[in-house]
Amino acid sequence: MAEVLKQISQVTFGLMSPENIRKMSVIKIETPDTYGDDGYPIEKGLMDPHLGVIDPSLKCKTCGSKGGECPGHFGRIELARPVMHVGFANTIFKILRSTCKDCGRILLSKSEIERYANIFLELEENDESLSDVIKEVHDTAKKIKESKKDVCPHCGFEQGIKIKFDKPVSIVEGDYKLTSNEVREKLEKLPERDARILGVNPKVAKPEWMVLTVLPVPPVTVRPSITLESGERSEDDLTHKLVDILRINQRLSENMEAGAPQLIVEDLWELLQYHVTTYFDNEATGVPPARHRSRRPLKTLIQRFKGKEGRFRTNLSGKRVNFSARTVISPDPNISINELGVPETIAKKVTVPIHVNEWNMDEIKEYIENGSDVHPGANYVIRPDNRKVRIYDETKEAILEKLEPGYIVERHLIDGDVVLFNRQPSLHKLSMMAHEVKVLPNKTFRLNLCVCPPYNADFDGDEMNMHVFQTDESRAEAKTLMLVEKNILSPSSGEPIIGAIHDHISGAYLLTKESSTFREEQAFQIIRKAKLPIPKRKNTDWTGKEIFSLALPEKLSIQYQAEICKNYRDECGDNCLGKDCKHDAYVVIEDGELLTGVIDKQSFGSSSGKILNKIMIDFGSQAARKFLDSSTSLAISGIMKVGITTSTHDEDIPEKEKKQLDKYLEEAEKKVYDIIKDYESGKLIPLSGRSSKQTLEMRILIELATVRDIAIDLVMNYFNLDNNDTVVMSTTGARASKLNLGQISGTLGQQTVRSGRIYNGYIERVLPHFTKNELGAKSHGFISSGYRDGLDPIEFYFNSMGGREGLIDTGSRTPITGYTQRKLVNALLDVSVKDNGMVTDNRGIIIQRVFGEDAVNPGKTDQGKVADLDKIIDEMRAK
Amino acid sequence: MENIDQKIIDKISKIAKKKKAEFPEKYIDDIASAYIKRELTDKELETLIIKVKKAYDQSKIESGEAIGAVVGQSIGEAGTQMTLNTFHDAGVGSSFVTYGLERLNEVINLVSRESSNLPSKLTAIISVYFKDKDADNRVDEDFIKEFASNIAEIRINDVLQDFKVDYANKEVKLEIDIDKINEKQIELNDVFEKINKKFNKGKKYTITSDENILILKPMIDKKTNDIQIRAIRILADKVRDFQIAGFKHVNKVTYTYDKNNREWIVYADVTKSPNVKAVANIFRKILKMKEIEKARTIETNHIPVIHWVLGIEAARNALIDEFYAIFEEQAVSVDMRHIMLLADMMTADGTIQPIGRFGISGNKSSVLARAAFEGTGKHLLNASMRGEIDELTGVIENIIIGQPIPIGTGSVSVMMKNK
Repeated sequence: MAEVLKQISQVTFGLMSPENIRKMSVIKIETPDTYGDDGYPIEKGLMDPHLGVIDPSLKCKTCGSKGGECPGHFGRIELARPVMHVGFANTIFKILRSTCKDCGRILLSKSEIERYANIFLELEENDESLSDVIKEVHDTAKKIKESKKDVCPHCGFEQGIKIKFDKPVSIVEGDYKLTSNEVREKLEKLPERDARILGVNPKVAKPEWMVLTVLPVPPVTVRPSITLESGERSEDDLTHKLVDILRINQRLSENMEAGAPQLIVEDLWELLQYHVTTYFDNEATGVPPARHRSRRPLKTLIQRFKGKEGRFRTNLSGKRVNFSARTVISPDPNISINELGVPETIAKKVTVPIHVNEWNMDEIKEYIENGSDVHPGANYVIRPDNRKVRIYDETKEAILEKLEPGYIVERHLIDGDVVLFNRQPSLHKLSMMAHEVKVLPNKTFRLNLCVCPPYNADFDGDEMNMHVFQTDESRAEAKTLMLVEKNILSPSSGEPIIGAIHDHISGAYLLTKESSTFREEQAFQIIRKAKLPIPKRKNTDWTGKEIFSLALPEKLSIQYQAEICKNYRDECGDNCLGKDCKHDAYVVIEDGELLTGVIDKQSFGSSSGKILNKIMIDFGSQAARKFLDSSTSLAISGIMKVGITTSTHDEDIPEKEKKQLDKYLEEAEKKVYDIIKDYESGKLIPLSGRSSKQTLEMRILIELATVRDIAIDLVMNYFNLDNNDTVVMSTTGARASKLNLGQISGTLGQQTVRSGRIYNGYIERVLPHFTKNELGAKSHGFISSGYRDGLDPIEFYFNSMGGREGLIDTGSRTPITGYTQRKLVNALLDVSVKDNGMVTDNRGIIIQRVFGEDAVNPGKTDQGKVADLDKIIDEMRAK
Repeated sequence: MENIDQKIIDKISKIAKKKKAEFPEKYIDDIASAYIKRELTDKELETLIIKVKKAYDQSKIESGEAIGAVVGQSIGEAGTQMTLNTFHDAGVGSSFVTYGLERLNEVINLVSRESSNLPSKLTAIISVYFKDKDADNRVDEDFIKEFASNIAEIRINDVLQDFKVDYANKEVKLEIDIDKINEKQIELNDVFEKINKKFNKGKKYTITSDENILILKPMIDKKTNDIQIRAIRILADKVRDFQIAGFKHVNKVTYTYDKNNREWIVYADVTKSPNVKAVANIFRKILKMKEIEKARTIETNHIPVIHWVLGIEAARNALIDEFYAIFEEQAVSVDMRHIMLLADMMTADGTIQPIGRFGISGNKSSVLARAAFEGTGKHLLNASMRGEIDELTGVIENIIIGQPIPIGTGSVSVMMKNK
């Protein structure tokens, strides 16, 4: 493993002087061509072997190393005439606008120059941005330059010349367009002191260097040519551009030597300028982009750096890695949340380097003997002299013989190895967690269902990535910080983000509800399946609560209201009976024993599990993992014993209720009709800040929302938690909501587009089935049917309109959130907590003296609260 | 907040000190109120403090924690759970306020340049609260109505019954709607007086009035000896736009009765103001009114204006409130501490900086970090010209050059003796 041998402590930026470019260059490029007819590079051409080689069979003429090893060397093009650099054209213009036409000095008095120089020193010392001061200097100098009254404070030359900048590179003084030569001469006159406060640091960049006289030619390795299947050579975009530059450069110098008319020379000069401009930036404003033969715009230097696909974001901020794998994911409720099922095929490909020593010698020999095809095997051996040898059946013997401490063996992934697991988009740190490997047959990654929420994963074809650690440090770090069990609590809110979902919850409910008892054999089967130790026989039936208690830590005591309690809120009001709850909705756990209450979402569900949170904080992450593993297993084996069925019959409601529902709907429609009548007769009193039409809409919406709520209540009142499994799912918080059930059996309610009733469609009506300008409930998206009875065609149409808005919303939201996320993380990522507890950024600027005013990590709290005083006191007094 | 006896606080602080527990003040206040409410014995108090200390020590943040990244992710991830826009009704009968992802973006990207004359794109609503008056002078609906009509901008156009541009007689004739004026509690005479005052200046127009009808006529142009059609048109526009009451740019005023706190709140919508300055001016004017309760009328959702008028600390608090409201409304749970850090980051240097290219990310010290975010070419070119030095102290810079990052576990190193 390569250690960090030398640390880079800083990077300095600067411009290259022509001398520097020449010094760096190994060859002067003169021929505007790449390869000759014989297929070999042309001498002094753009592919000259002095510039480096790509083909491993060739040798570099500069350094002598083979292709692949040679880093490449720069060449140069001597430009026949100087040319402006696009990137600096604007700066050059600003400098000329701030300096005297005659003496070339900055148009500020000596004392002012002195003053600004001092400000500069101070700012530099404090590491602050110079941009504002530079702008100020330019603005003051510009005023003098453009006023006819003023003269140069240095030479007394009269000012009042307007200088214009024509994008991309032309600078016009009065009516005369300056040539690059003249610009360069003017820039040369600028003294160092003046340049400094104009924003050009003379230590690293002389202003005249911004006009190019010699152009560096990047090495071949930067612009490799590729050979197509047909044997045809295809050159890199940069090479194409360099050919253009060379060609024009040659013609220009020929014409100049031949003493061609000024006009022709100027035209060629301009063309050279165009090619050099597009060589640097092919998206510069004011120039048509240079194109490939296929009309595709060329990707030149700036384009290589810029944007999402540019060098910075794709190759520098994010890098491709080895020892990684990607495949489809599928669920496995039988493995721990910490584990990850890895297909054997993958386990045999990605490896872990193991240092051979006396103690693991035998183990490693076994791996080598197995070879690369049999599972717990090894693929490579790295000898102490750093040579990597592949293990084949033929070489096995020889390798085994030589094996001794100091060797490194790259062995297959085996059970218990720590790997990183990731699902994109990686929106938070929980999108990358460390798992323990469990090698399994078949070809998908297997994960416990409880870890779906942090990854936001489902199994409809999702793929995920796995990375194998290659050093002991990284492995240790991942194990202590990134392991799934350490991340049960979400850092953003302090709620358990990893927890029971769907069937875990309905299963736990069915297991622990009051009426559920099991014969001892059944109970033992459930316990056995959850891999819990089999308790002593008691020769009586077991209650589900007794079974569930086995998963709880011995010393756990907690009380809370279960999720199903919400179902009875109207009934009970504020007088909760606590543990005497009639509905078994108040959970009491004492010393690891579930005394009353059912287990549901509030107990161990993802993002609300009270027990889970308590165990995590009081007993540590390992206990929490154990609890989650065994409780979810119990719930699953429980649900398999009790059974759960759901069908449309669950949503059937009898005639009596149906009639009642119709009556409510009729009443509501009548009420709406009354409101409309009021509106049409002008009797409707508009609310503050609203027109009477808006008031009408609001009143109707409220009216129809009320009737939907009544319908939901009606339906829910009929439904029974004891004999209806769909209701079990919705009330325990496993899946679906009251609203969903109400919409299935009762009424769908008002469909909205842009949070209002639907008005889009035909002129003055939504569909031709309505009369024009009708305002009634039905004609603007109120659906009185429920899904079970089915919608009529018009209702279906409205339902689709509402549904479409949802789809559009999600579609347009994804890129917006992505960008917001990127901006937020980028702005904040240098901020960290220092040893003294202060929150600072990388410059040492203090953002907060104490994080969050109490130095508490929300990811280690109970929903942001460090301690619930009342609960502590209760517990204290209970003892 | 109830008043807790200083003695109790001192007592608790003393015990805490004895137990070597260093709590933030808020914790001591909480313990004190629990002490009173639950009538704890001294012994119980001591155990309570020990337990709280244990819990506090356990949940303390570790040094080196990359809290910035965690905050960014927590807030950004919460954004993925939000809907794009919801128009929230800030109480029955008041104007709609935008919430949701769009509003989050609005606040994060706020434009705050001090001298900004740019149009303020932020929604701006100023909430006005009122002082509790004595029993016989209560703040009632009539008072609120009057107040609302006092601050709302009313132009001639809003109170017209009829408006004629008479090209034949070369005059502009306006008929004022008495009902509308009464409703808005403006005197007809006041209107006429104001118009007189404005349009009689410089004697450019002749004004004649009759009951609720007003006729304006431009003076005869001395050069052409006639009244130009253009002058009439200009006059017509000017008259119609003439403001007769209220504050300029306050284009909508609504009010609501808060049933929970039993008080009236007036919302002044100034979203259409031309620039931040204009909003700030209105805000200042409202703050100067004597009927209002100043301590609570600092509520506007336009953060740059709060910064202008009330200063940076107020802006920070406003940011926190605003973020909190956004997440609250969408029912996504983000810890308050994260929100605070974000607000502190945006206000750390004494001005409000937006997140992103024009703010925090664009002002980073490292060239490479800036180039890796946005505006790659610009940053690299400027850096080379100015001879900038990248000290490689941040995260991305070190990733770019392939070195361990100086944060979290990378912020510590092991020193070894050279043998």
